[in-house]
Amino acid sequence: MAEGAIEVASEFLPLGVIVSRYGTTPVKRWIAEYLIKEGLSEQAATHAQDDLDLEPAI
Amino acid sequence: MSLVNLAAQPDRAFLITDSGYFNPDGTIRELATKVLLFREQRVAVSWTSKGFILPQLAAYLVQDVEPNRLRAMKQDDLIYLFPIWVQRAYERFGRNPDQDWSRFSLALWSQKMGGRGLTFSTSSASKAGAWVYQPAAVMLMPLIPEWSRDDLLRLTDPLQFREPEQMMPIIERQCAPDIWKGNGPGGDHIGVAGRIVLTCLSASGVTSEVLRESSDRIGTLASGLGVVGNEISVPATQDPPVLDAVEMLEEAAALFEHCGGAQHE
Repeated sequence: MAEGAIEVASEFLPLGVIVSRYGTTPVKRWIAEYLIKEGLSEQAATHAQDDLDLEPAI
Repeated sequence: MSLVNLAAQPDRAFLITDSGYFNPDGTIRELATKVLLFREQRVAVSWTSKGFILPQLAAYLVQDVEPNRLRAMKQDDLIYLFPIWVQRAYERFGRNPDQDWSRFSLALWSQKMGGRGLTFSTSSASKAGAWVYQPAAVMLMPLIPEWSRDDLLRLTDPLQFREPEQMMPIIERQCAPDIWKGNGPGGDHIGVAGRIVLTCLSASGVTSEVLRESSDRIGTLASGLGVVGNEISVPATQDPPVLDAVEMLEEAAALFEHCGGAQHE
């Protein structure tokens, strides 16, 4: 994925979609709510861009 | 605190867990699975925690671990990395691992070593120190004071617990209110809630089974022994007995891809 695409995907990520599409069971709903609360999209973009230049840290 | 029982036997390892997550006042915050399954590696993880470690750990994994990389990971590598992931999740979300401690229990099976159990704590007050594994053939959380060490060791007999019902007397004792007395603010009410799930790992794969349902509801106190058998009213939506780690990561990745793609159309 190109760097620009990552930025677009995360900037326009509709938060409600996370819950409606991902949170279909109690634990997924809880995780989705948490991801929203913690601003997942912004952090995900940062890490995805980092991975373009660096080996994953795991 | 919650119910997490682990037993490692020569031919298998299993976890028995409840599904209650509690508010400080003792009311139920969530009823959700407490088993994170790494199916390819045949490792099942559960935990007890002050606070809610699951969503933070999940958020860390979703953001930092590639699903394909996790799928291909060897069991030994996963075991090595797991405490590091937990530590990073604590750091990322600003949690104090001593104050907001967690204890993780890992049940695993391998062709070479059979069933095994491992445990580690995030707290430096633990005997082994923070983040350091200890082998655990048997763990009962909460402990049952009247059980002796000999009783616990007998649990490793491979002939024990061929039928899940054989574990039920232990679980019923763990549900008793006196076991939970004094467990923090509202601790007299914090106990065992929701489903009781058996997760078993062996040469034939991973199986999970709901041993018991309960009538517990979010926002109420745990009913403890208030299991009502056939009279239960099961919530409309329930978790699968385990949370598959790779599926969790793949679904999150697909969601982001879908959302991004939609914006380009």
